[in-house]
Amino acid sequence: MNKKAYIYVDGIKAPINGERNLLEVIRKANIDIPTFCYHSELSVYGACRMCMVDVEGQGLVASCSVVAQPDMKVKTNTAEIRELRKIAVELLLANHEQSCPTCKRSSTCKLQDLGRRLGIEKVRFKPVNKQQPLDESSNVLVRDPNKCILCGDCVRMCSEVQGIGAIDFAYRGHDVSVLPAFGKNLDKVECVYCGQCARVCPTGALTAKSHVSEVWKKLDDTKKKVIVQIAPAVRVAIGEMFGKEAGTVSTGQIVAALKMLGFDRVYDTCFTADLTVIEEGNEFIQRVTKGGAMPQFTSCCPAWVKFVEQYYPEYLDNLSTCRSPQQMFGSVARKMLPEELHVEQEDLVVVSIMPCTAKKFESRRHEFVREDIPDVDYVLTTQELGQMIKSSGIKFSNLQPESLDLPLGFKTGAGVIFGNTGGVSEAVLRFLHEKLTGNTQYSFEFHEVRGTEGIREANITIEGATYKLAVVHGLGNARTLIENIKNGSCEYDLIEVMSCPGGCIGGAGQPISFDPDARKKRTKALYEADKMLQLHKSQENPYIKKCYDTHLGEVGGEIAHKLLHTHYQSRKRIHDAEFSLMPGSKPNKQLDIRVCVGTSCYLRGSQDLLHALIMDIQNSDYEDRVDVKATFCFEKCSEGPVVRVGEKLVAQATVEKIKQEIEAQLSK
Amino acid sequence: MTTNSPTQIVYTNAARCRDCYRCVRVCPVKAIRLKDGQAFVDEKRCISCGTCIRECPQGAKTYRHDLETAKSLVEDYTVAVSIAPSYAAIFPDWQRKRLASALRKLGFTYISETAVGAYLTAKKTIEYASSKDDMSHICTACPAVVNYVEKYNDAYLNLLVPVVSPMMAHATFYKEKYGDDIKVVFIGPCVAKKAEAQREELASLVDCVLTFEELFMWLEQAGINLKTCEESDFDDYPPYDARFYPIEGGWLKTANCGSDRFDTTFLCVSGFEAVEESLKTVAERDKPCIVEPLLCPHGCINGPGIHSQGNLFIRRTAIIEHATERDVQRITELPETKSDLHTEFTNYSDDVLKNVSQAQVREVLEKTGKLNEEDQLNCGACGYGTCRQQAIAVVQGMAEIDMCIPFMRRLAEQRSDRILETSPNGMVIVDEELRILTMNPAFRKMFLCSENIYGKNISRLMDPEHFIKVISGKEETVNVVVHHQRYGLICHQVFYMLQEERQIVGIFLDITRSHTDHKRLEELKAKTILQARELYEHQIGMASEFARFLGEYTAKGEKLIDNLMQLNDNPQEGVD
Repeated sequence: MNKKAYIYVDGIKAPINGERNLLEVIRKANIDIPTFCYHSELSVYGACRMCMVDVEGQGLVASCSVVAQPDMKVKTNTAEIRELRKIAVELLLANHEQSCPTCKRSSTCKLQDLGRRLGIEKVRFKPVNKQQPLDESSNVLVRDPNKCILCGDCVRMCSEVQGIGAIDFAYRGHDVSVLPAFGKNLDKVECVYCGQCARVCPTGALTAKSHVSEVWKKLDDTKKKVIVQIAPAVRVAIGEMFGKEAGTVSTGQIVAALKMLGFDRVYDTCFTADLTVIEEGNEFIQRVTKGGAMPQFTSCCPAWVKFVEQYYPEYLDNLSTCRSPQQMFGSVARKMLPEELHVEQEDLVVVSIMPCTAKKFESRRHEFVREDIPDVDYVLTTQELGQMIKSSGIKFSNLQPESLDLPLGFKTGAGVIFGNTGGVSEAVLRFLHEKLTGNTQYSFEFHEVRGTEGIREANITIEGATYKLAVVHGLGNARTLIENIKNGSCEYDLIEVMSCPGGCIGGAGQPISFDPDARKKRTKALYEADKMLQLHKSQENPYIKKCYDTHLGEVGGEIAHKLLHTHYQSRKRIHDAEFSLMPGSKPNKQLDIRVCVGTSCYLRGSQDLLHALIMDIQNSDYEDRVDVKATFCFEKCSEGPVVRVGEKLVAQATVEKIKQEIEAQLSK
Repeated sequence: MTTNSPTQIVYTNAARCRDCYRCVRVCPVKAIRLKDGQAFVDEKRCISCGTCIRECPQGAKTYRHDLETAKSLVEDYTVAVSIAPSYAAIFPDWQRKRLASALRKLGFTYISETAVGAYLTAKKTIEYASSKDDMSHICTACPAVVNYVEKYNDAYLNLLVPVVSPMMAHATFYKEKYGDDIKVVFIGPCVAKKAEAQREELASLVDCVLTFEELFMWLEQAGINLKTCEESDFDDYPPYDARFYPIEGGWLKTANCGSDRFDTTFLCVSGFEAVEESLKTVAERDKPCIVEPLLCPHGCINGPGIHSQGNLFIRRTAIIEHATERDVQRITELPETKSDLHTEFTNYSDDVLKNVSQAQVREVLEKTGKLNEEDQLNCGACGYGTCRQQAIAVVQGMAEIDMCIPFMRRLAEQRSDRILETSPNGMVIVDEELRILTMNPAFRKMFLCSENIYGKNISRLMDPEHFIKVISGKEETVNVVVHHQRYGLICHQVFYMLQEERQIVGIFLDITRSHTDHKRLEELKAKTILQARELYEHQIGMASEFARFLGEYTAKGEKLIDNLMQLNDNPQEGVD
């Protein structure tokens, strides 16, 4: 029998229960050792030196980097340690842009918190760094290098958990900083906008871009009808910003608050999650019965979609063509509501409240913008909504719950669990089971797909056929899984991927939480909310049925395809490398022509083709309506030269072929 | 607390019962048994209406709580819950919309309003009534009314429509829809439903009955806050008119017989007196009619299982609004059942109505001095309507003689008067102005006065200084011995103030005789001591005389012996 091992923390006996390091043991003994660079979900880095403790016989050590040994005698609060921490924080503060009152992370900033905890009232050192410009290039994240304390949490999150590495340390010594490759802007690199870097950033160096002021403007405009959708994960987290425990369901109070803020209608993204289940489940059945790329990947998570587009374009056909619930909501709202609310399309403003930063990116994808009107105009994170409520002085906790508007506010439990990892799979299983067996009386819970493991597998047998499912969260895990599929070591039918750990409830738009169990509590609350609802299967949602009858036609039919499905683009190549070649070219031409000048096409004469084409167009009567640019690679190198006319790819192109295509498209 | 049988629904928490007879007064069937001043509920007579629970000022009447049963049911089985439509009177709109979620969190699987059953019951009732339109009918949704007829009015038994109550109809509906192995829990405002669930002929249709009060307790214990529950729907929706059921005329509306309350075919009544009166009406009228009786005044919205003081008309308005709000109408089909929903009633009147002989009643009346009709006040203070009824109850062992307040008062008054009249001590009461208000015979005798002195100042009889001392508040009670030379009296006197009346009581204890006796004894004592001293001195004198005498004689003797010795030493000279 193993004897129980203990350490002595400031003279108090504390048990060792297999913790990964001394730090965890001490924290369990109720001493909150401060850290910047330590995250339980990331590797140990040991850079911030805040967790220094005095171990008898060893002297000062970083407790994150030491494994607890039986009978260790540890002091956590000596004059030396106090002074050390103080100097470290002072040095960080000296170089930190101290714009605290206007910083988004004010009050949730760890640097601020530690400065206060350590009683630093004056910084004795002078700043040495020069002011650097902000990176506001993307619509999603803002990088402020002046607030970076070089803890590396974001770097490790991006590479270790998400398997991307869009940012890393650059330069040496005094010049060291965290940057995207070659110092480019975030929107020019592989960043998928999951925002997990911002979630772990202890300061305001990485934050989500706020769209609150734009939304206020629309709310103030009396001509506009502003409607809003709430994602499932928001309801179990926003309470945390108002002193409630994580996992407190506050749907009714969110509705009440949104109505007070001036939103005309409040709907639920769970409704379109139900819609997604039906379309995606139907798509799955089609793929299985009629043949199609297998396994089918879920497509709800925009960061995951971008990830596939960037790294695995060969699997684009595997992605479900279903739009995400947010975008389905956008297109359904634009289809149904102008008539119902008696409002012109351009005066209908569609806002969504999301736990996610990547949804901001998704809403601006060109597939989801029609005639300059995006299906979803603005995406606010849970945090941004909380901020709006706070700024308006509404006492959130005292609000009497109000009801979501119908019909887009009615949901089943299947739509609600979308916020959890495994939730989409479970919701789809509830649909498939009934669809394939015709049996409506079955337990609606599929515990096989629930859990917290990064990659989970489940074999579900329905009517004699076994379907192999994989549920993944964290893009690093997704990469592992796809590599395994590629090398043939495993095979699946349906794969659910959520980029954020825990699924959407762990999204980067959620309130900053210092409760280590927050994610667990939010997950539990969503499963409980499912249990408490009347209906648990998307196909039972009476308003979905009605919606198909009145607006969408057949499941998977033509209208449904137009409104609820989408297509994807390969992002393997640098997509912004385009060279305008038409002299005096005017913007907003009717038709874009892109000629590949990559090696393979060049060898097949694309350069000459380009020349001839430009000459030809300049002499034609449609010169003003077409725009020609050179670009790199459409991934069809063996069929070069390749030219894209509008949305259409023309292989083995000739001037004649292209002219024909131009004329055909222009005459449409 | 007394031990109760497991089937007893309403009972007394003896620790709180304080002997006030309110329950006896309000109990429509006088099912309260008095024992040693405490009021217990007689299970056989009780119709479980719960009126006493609502009325008891001490909260001493309670009902059997079944929360633990419900908890174990949801743990072990698939459970459907039937929520009485009166829930709309307690839960405001936003809470109603979240109640289904909360119930699911408690562990219920199927949730709908009892109004589903009400619709079925009403339909069957009207079918039955129109098949027998030559006779009157009594609708039977209210279990307390059914109990009342079965126990006290067997003459109307055949008028009860033999159709189960909405609760039972709903349970039948549930079991048809979801299978016989599900359990059904009813939650409502009613206590009598707990008894109904125990009826043998309907056994195991409803497995547990909770009141709304118990539901609130459960939600609190489970830490469920309706604010943080998702809005969600019930599993079945009733046709909306069935939601009128818990108020007067609700059945009429549900059965779609129109809502004309002036149609003489229908009698919609609530409250015991009205129910009783309406039943009599049925018997007396020639034209058949249909009675819809609800035992609680204003109907189920005033049931004893609602732990709230809310205004009844506001509750009624809430019911009507709930029944008429149609914007969320999600009824796809009308509820149906294959069952005929038939039930039977039993005559229990023999168990309850025991014959009592005139002689026994007379005997009780005699004991309480109420044999003469004019002595029977029928004041109702004991809780019974008439003295005769109370006497019958005494014979039946339900009441006690000393519940009669006038009788007990007379008895008490007589006693206290006797004490005053016969006391050997003089007693007088004066007011603040020292005017004599009353006195007893002993006082009159001691101070030689008559009733003529009433209203006169006490100073006419004695020095008022002690009375004044008490009035001034200097001393609370004065305790003195005074020699009234005028009357030849020595009195031990006590004075004190009746604070509320601002009157002074004087009590005079005649100690003249004992005082005189004491004096005599003192004199005797003094004399005795004097004589004792004389005797003592005399004896001392005598002793010293003796001593002197003895000394002289001893010395003389010594001299003589000396002389005698000298004679012996000189013989010649020995002859004198």
